[in-house]
Amino acid sequence: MRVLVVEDEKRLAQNVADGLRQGAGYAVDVAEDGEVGLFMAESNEYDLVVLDLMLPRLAGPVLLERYRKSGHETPVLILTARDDKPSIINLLNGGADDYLSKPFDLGELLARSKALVRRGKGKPQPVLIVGDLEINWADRTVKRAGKRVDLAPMEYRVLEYLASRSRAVVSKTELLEHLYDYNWEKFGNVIEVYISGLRKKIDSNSRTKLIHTLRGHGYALRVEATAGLDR
Amino acid sequence: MNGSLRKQIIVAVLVSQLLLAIGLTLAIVLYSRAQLLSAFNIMLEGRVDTVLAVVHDAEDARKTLIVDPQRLNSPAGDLVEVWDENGSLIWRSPNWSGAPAAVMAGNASTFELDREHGPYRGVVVRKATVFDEEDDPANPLRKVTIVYAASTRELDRHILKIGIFATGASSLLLCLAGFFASYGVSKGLSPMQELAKAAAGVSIRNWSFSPPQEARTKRELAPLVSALEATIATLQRAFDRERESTADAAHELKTAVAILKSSLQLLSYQPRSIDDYQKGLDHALEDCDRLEALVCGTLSLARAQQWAEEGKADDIQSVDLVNSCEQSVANLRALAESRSVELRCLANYDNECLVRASSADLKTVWVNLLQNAIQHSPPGSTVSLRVSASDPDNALIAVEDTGTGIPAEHLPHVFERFRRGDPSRSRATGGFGLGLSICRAIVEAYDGHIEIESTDGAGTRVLVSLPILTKVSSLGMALPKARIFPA
Repeated sequence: MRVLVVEDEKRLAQNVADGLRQGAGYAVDVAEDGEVGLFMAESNEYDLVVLDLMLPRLAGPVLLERYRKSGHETPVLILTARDDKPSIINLLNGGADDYLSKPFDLGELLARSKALVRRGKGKPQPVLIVGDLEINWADRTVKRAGKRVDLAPMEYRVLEYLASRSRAVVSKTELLEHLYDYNWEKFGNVIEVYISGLRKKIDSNSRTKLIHTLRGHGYALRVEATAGLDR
Repeated sequence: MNGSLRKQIIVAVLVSQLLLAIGLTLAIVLYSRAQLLSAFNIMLEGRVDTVLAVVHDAEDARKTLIVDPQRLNSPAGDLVEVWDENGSLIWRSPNWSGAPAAVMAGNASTFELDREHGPYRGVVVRKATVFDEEDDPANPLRKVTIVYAASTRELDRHILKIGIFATGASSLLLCLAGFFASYGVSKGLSPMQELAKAAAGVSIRNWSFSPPQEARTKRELAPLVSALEATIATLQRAFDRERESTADAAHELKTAVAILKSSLQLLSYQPRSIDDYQKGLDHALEDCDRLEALVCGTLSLARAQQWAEEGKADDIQSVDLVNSCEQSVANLRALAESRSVELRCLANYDNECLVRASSADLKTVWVNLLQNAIQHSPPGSTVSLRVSASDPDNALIAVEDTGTGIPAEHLPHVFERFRRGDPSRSRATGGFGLGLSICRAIVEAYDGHIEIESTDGAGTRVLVSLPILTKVSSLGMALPKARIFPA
């Protein structure tokens, strides 16, 4: 998952970004003013936007309005120092999905971010189940047939994204887009390395394969009736 | 509220009208009575003459006077007595026992009687009878006293009728007048009521004040309307400004707390190495310092503004302006060198230039202005502080840089709290946008003036003027308003 944090206070942006990276395993981009924030939000695929309200150059509410007008459906979490009800109501009516008042609790920020990402993917359950595979979004653990599977952080992120789009075919580009932040050099074969690692840990000990490769299209995490398409 | 102007005015009008009506009624009744009485007296005198006409000589030896009742045709109820000049009764009407002694003894020509049939009014007339000289040429004049009284019942009834009519008429008029007075007063006061209603509707939540057009055109109300409008507009601006800057301050404070809190939470989120903990603590301490600086700056500004407003006089010493500037420049030399900026102090004063201020306050101003200039200057450029006399009464201090400048759209707001010329840039330098606000509050507290000129990309100049304390006029000079920031 990839998150955009639009916050002009450098230290706060850094803490929020670190929290999201360490606590949720998300890729995080930071924009320090509204104009850059809007540009980044519109030119990349994000799974969540964390938006401060008082921003230089372009105020948060205006950014939100323009972002929604251009048709983006990514959930937006507002960070606000104003907790007066009318402004919160205006924000939610204006397309925000949730808000947190400053000073906020980092744990709460993480929990809300995860919930927003889940709901944004149409998966409100905290534990995603594909066949006998269980993925717990809250504590980032994975079980196959009731047995815990230990994954490297990047492997977990790939699996989490595939699970969030379960049954759909996810292209390599989409995976790169959602798993790496702006500063990362994007090489397609990196994904192949993680997919093969995941296969070893999840599918090797089981008769039913869950991770499928569709050549030239991408990957899918699903239970398939016929194993013909596999590999 | 237990009083109403409208009621008071109506009651006053009605009471005065009531007094007028009562007075008028009394006057009418009294005047009519007097007129009727005098007519009654004339009538009585006429009747006396008819009695006198029937007094004649009895033609006996003693020349007795007699009255012939057969020839007397006065009304039946009237009382008549006729006396001769020796005081003996000649004739008395049969329905009477005689006039009271007091009437006879007194000199009054009229009298009143109360009889069982009602009040009577009478006259006493002394007159000579006139006989034919042929009858008694020797004694043609014989004086008689005639007492004549008639019932005044009719007269009283008449007066009563007039009284009733007058009272009725004035009551009716009073009612009409009262109605018109209450209508007129209500109508006259209605613009005032409307105005009061409009003014009562104004509150912190709703500033719209729409006075009735009628109130604006009334000579008595127009000044009140314009005063109210001006006051409400001023209040609204002040409230809006206050609310904005409170929101800004809250935003800054909450953000600073949020940073510190998130730093600590991030640190405790997962086990880390000792090195990482050390780094995290250092970060948290930096955040604490930032928070502290923000709180101190906010408080300083609040204090400066409060003292500037209250004009708190204190024992302010006189400070040598050039000296104060030179010290501040010296203090900032290290910072300037670290950014490769040249710092110059140019004093264009022959004598010492004294201003009445606290030296700590003045230094706060110069240090703030110089810091801003240094922070926004490119390496290799020059920041200069010039002191000169703008006119005989004021010193002019100019802080100039050739740095990045301030965009024209931000220039009008740079003295506002928590404003930053270019927000993202100032954040990077760690400012809160409080420095210039504090400078202005201090300068204004010492009756000075501060302004800023800037060309985007070419540099900024801040001009401060302060009243000079010259040696000649120092004793007579008014004290500046406040002393701020005790050292």
